[in-house]
Amino acid sequence: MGLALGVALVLTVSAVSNGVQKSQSQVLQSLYGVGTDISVTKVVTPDAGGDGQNNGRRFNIGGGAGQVDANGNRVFARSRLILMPGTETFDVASVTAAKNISGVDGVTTSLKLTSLTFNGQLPDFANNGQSSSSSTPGMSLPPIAAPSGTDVVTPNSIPSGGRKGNGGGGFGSNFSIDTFSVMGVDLSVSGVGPLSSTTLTSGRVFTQADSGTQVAVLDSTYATSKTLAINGTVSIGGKDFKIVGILASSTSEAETASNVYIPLDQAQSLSTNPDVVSNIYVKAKSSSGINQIATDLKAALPDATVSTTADLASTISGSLSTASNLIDNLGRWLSIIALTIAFLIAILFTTSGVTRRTREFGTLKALGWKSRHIVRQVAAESVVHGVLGGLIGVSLGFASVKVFNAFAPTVQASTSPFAAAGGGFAGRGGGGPFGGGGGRFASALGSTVNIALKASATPGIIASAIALALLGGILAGVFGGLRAARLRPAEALRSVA
Amino acid sequence: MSNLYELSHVVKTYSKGRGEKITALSDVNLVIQSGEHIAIQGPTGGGKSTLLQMLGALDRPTSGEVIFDGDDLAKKSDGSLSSVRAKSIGFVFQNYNLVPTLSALENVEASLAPLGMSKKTRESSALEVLNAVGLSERIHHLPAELSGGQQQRVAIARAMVKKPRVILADEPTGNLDEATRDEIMDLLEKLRVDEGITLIIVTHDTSVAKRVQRRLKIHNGVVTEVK
Repeated sequence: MGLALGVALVLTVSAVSNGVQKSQSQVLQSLYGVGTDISVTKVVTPDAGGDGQNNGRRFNIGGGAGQVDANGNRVFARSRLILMPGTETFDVASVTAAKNISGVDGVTTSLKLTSLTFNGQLPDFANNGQSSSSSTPGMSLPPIAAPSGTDVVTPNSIPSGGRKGNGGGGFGSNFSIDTFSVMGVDLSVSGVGPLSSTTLTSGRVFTQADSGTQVAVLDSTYATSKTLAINGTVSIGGKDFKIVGILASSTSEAETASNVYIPLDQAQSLSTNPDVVSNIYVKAKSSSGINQIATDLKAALPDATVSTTADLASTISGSLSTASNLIDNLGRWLSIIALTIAFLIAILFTTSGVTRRTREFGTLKALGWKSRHIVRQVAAESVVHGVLGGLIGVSLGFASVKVFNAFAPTVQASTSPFAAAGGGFAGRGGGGPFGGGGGRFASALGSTVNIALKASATPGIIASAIALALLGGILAGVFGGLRAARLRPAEALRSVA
Repeated sequence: MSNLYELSHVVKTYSKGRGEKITALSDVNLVIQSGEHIAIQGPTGGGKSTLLQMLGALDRPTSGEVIFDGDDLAKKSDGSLSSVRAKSIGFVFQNYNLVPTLSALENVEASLAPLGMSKKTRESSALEVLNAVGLSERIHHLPAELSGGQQQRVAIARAMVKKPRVILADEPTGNLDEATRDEIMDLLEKLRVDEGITLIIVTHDTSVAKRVQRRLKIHNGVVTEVK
């Protein structure tokens, strides 16, 4: 029974540990896709504060643009496709360098962008000569400057998720900024990259024939929230893209890595970032070569952040990480202690059983049984006990796993692309369009996932548990058998008498 | 008749600790011929069981010779003594000493296990001898499901099944009522005659001792013939 309890505990801990690993794997897959072994990104140093110096996030609206309404306000509608904040790009030579590294099985790329659409009205500064160089304290409206007849609107923070920020009403302005994430995907390689962790829910996926065409595939959550459907259109950077497919995450995450996916060449031309990419996804020929490829990538692309699955796993924080650490530390030691105790109990029971059976073994020796016959008999019985203990332990373990899964605690996993290990896998962002501040990159690029932790007893774990029980039985059998073999028949029978 | 046992100047001492020694057998000289029926009597602690252990190759003397069938048991290794016991010596104990988790048939088969026989041969031999002791209807019963007399019959069958040269019985009727005692003694006597086996019985029971050809008395480790 001791052996059974030990095996049950080991099986339960292993199953929970396996569940944690699966959850980690799901988080990783949701971040950069199934099949990707290494991800290469470049991350800019975050701005110290929201000073609005990033020209990529400005709307430069000419003084004569838009229409002036009856109240003297100028009405604008502007759409831009910009590089996702905090992201830098690789040129073609960098991608080629990655492809040429030994041991690389496949390379695909993507360009992560943010679509910004400005709709609204501003006071007609060009005509009434008002200056907006100073802003009112407490206003959420970002600075609006009008040097030499040009209005400049700079949102402080650009989220990657599809959000609509309602503008303020300072100076009689009334506008909104709609943002969503757009990912240009390489259509030449499949099975690796961000789309590999998605499932098609309607329409179709990209084909190579889609290169150069204005077609888009949408994340199902985004499509639902915007009431967009197949054969409809979505406006990206002022261009209408035909929606050909809707995707959902194939992992436990609610959303995929981007709101909208378009062909890479379209993303590059619309964002005026020709021939560049923001992410390089590398698949290794063999898992044993991943570390060497990562080293070679770091040498070939010294400015890049090269992250393997293991690196990314180390950036996962939150309760999933806590659970993982708990399982790794407490669970492992608990298993070792439980198993050691179980083994000792099994050995103790067997040797005390031998003592109890002194008369029996003494009699068998008197009948002519040699010591090896006795050892074999005790060991065989002990192994049978081990198997029985293993089976009972596995049953108890399964019951424990079932109870654990009935409660299925929800754990939270968070990743930070600025972690020391190097991330750069931009997920969905947080924060509204004006959620500025020094930490805006982190808030925009980090990802948090809620996962129901499920323990999973694989055949390997079950086999290991039974093997441990067998080992316990054999150990007990060896100790007990040796003790039985040492019995001298005359003394055994005399002590019984 | 040939000599089965020749004991010469056999001494057996046990250490009691602190240098103190107990002499269980003191210069025993004894010859036992094949086919004899012998009873050994004596007070408790007199050395009966020790003598039986020497005769049964369960122990070696401290000094002296125990010649069995031409071989000195005192000079044999543990493994060789096991082989002698397995082939030539059968034991019957006062408390039967059956393995409680084995059936009557399996208990008898256990006696043949060290001889390297096939399972089928072991089983047929065990069935034959269980039938001879009148237990053919009880072969699958566990010891706990048998009466004392039936258990002792199984023990006798276990001793007989290997067709030994000698059966050593230590108080074989000590736990039995008178009627059952007589049945068991009749059975042992019949088997001895039928199989030509030497039968040596240690007993306190005078009525049992009176049934044998030769009576030995052992007191303070010294063996004497009872006339």
